[in-house]
Amino acid sequence: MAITVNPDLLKEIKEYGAFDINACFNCGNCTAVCPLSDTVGSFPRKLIRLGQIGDKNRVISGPEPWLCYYCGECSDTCPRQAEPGEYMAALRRYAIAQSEPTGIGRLMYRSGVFAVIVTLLVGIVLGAFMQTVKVGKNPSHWIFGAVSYQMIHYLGIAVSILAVLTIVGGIMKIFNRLSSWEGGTKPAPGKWVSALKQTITEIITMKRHREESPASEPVVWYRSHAWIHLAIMYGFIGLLVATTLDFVFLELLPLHLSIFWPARIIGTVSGLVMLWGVSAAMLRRFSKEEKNAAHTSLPDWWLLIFLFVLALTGYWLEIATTFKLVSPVNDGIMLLHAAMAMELILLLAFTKFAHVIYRPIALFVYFLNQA
Amino acid sequence: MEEEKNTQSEENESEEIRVGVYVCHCGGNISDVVDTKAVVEALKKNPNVKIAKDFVFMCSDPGQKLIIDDIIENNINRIVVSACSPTLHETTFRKALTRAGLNPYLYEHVNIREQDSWVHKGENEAATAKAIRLTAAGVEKIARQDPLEPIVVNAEGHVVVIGGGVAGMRAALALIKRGLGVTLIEKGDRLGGRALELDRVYPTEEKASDIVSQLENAVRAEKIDVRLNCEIELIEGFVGNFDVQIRGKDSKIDKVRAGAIVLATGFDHYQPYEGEFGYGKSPIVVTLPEFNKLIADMPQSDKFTYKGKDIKNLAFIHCVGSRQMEGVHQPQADGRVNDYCSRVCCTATLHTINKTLDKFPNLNIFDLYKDIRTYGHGHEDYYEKASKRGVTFFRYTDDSIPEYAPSSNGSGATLTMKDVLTWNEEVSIPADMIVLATGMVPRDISNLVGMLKLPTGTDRFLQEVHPKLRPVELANNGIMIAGTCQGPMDITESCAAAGASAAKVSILLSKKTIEMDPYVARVDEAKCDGCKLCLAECEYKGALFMAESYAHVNPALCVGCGACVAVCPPRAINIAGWTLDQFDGMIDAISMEELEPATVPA
Repeated sequence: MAITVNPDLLKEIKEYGAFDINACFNCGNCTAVCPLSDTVGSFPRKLIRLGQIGDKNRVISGPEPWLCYYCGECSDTCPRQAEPGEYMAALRRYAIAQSEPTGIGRLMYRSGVFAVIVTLLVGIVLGAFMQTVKVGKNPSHWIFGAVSYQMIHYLGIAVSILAVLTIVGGIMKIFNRLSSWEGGTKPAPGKWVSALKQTITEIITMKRHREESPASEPVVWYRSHAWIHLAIMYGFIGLLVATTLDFVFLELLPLHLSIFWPARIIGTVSGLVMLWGVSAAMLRRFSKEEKNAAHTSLPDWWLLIFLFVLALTGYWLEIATTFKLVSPVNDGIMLLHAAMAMELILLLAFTKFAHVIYRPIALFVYFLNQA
Repeated sequence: MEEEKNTQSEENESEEIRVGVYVCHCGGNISDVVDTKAVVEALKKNPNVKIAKDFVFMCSDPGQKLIIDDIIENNINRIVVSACSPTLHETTFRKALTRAGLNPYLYEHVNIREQDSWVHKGENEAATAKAIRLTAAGVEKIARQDPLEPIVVNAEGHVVVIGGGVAGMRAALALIKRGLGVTLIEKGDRLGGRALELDRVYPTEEKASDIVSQLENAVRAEKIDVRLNCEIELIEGFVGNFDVQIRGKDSKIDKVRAGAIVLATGFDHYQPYEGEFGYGKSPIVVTLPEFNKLIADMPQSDKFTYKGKDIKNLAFIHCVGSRQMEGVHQPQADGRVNDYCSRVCCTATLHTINKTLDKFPNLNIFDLYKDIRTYGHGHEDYYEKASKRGVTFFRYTDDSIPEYAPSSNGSGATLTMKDVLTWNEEVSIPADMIVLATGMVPRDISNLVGMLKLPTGTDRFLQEVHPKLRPVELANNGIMIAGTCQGPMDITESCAAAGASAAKVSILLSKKTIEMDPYVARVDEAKCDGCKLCLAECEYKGALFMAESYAHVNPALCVGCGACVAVCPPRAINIAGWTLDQFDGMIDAISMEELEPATVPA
């Protein structure tokens, strides 16, 4: 089947990133220098060309955008300054936006103002909703003076359900697309288990990520792109585990307030690791010295700010609980922490955070198609 | 060698042949490979060679002085220099002979650099042997050489320029400024030629009409004899003395005498055949010149409307009528395909694309190319600009030429091809309008070509003597070419060619007479039996004719091709300076069995 050329696609993708693919003259240097591109997942040139001629389906249906970790080597090498690495990042944003059915993601990526409004609005709704859940414990009842308690409660639930549905819908859409991907070979029936194993190994070790080219100005390993990401990832996972344990044992053992409680130790250490990672990442993005941080945009900041604030408020609360400090300020911090954590999860389908689901799925499909 | 064979015609039978041989080192270029001393020693054995020397730079003043001194002091009367290519220094040494009072044609230049030392590096012994044979052949040739005198003809200080386009006008202006009379003949009813069709031109973005009117005003101011609506009826004569008959609109014939002729007859646009990419069958398919004319006066707009229809997707196809392949493309009327590159269409197309986007920024533009050859200074900028502005490029090959199919709704079309840039996947390009980048084909000047026996290439354009060494001269003495009659070129290049032609004409007609090399046919009337076999071979009208029962040569018209020599049974015809006797001697020398490269004592 001939590909029907559609010149409007590139204009559309262009709203998601600061690349200049028009400048590309198809030399293929980007693919040649890419440490991760191979015959199963070939990029960036292939995706650039598909973007140029407007084959939308193949641009977003393959795992290729998710196989790239944006080391920036291609952008450094590009003789036309077309920024292929940034194009790949834009494709991921585009794929995320194209995977959720509401259109909110598309608006959030294209308009910073809209993204901020949505974030604040959802945050306020969730914060207020929290108040309705533990009404007896938290004294900040002033908020319900204007709006009815019931309405807030149901609105919170509605938002949550909608968000969860969107996430589920997004996952299904991604799965659907990837299963119709024409790029790979037909996987052997027995491949599923090994592909799953490979995917899990990859998530745990982030080996491919660490295989990317070093930054043009090499930095010490612990400040490298891949290790910063590992720190954030493990810190986040650790905190997730600690929070879950905390929540489960909350009613069972009063002992958990102790700083030496295992879940607490996990939380404290993980928090430090994540705080380090997030700070380093923010510094990288702030200095813009490395190629892959040069085009940092609001969606990148969004995730980092959320994680940063969550980590800081988490420590505040830990100190407050350890020393049994009770004050309305601490209650407010608690509320902020809980609302942002919930919002981070609920807005998953609309934000960069979606990669925690889409990347593993794409990796799985990629491993499945590997010979 | 027998004495009687060496001596030549009666006039210098009495004269002793005293050859001087000079082997040049060329500062190591030759002597690093060829043992020049050995060459000298070997040549000294030739009885005709009275002096043999080698020297570091023969072309230098001391080198030339060696020759002059030997001619004057040692009565040397034939000179052989074994050195570089004759193109470089033959004239230098001929002048030295003249200064020494010797006939300059008693000189032979042997090339042992380009034809020996440079191509046989590392094979020093064989190269030395080759140098000896080549030099020996030169000695044998010059030993059989009579003094010659250049052919001198009258030079009319007037030039006929045929074609009143940009090239013709530029040539005419340059010529008149050098003090020559100029008649400028134009077939059409105004000056300007093909440039009149253009709007703005790359790379300067000037208006073509400004260039034309500037030139036209200058032509008018310079009192050039401009003949509009005129054609060439007949051209007779030879260099310095052409008789040009000009037929006017009223069929009246006017005669002009000219020392030289400049051809600036221009080109035609390739005309697609009916159905080529839908051309002629659908109104949405136009050629690049047609498209340029169409948008020239359109105002800037968000919308591009053509024949009442909004055009959103506009496709350009390169190489239409150019770089054709036999068996793939439909041949031209003469059965050949246009396999040459039209050169200007790539930049012209990209220039037009940018111009189109200036006027209609919302258009989607597709560019279907085979190769993009934006070769000129500043031309690549048009590609880069088009690319940056979002033009989508597709690359096709001769195996997959874009296939035109009208849309089912009848308003647009699709072009389907395998795209090299998309790893040869088939792409289908929607087009509301298609522009064919048609190339240049030679103007039909078959009457002139036939009349003057002008040389043309396989591409049917006029062909210069040598693309680098004599780029604007035809083999026909006194006829120069300017502009696109020679091959596809843009206005810049046409002007450069016109200037070069004018310069060549100026040199030719700078004196009242023209000296030509005497290497033309000569008939030995005693030997000629009047068989007339030679007449059938001669391609140059008036060069060879019968009178008083033997063949005669008009030296001004003869080009010295030697066709007559080859068919003459009694060997009555010879080319002066290249006689059959000389060839015999050279062949004997080159093929001599015993070669004794004299070893030089250390």
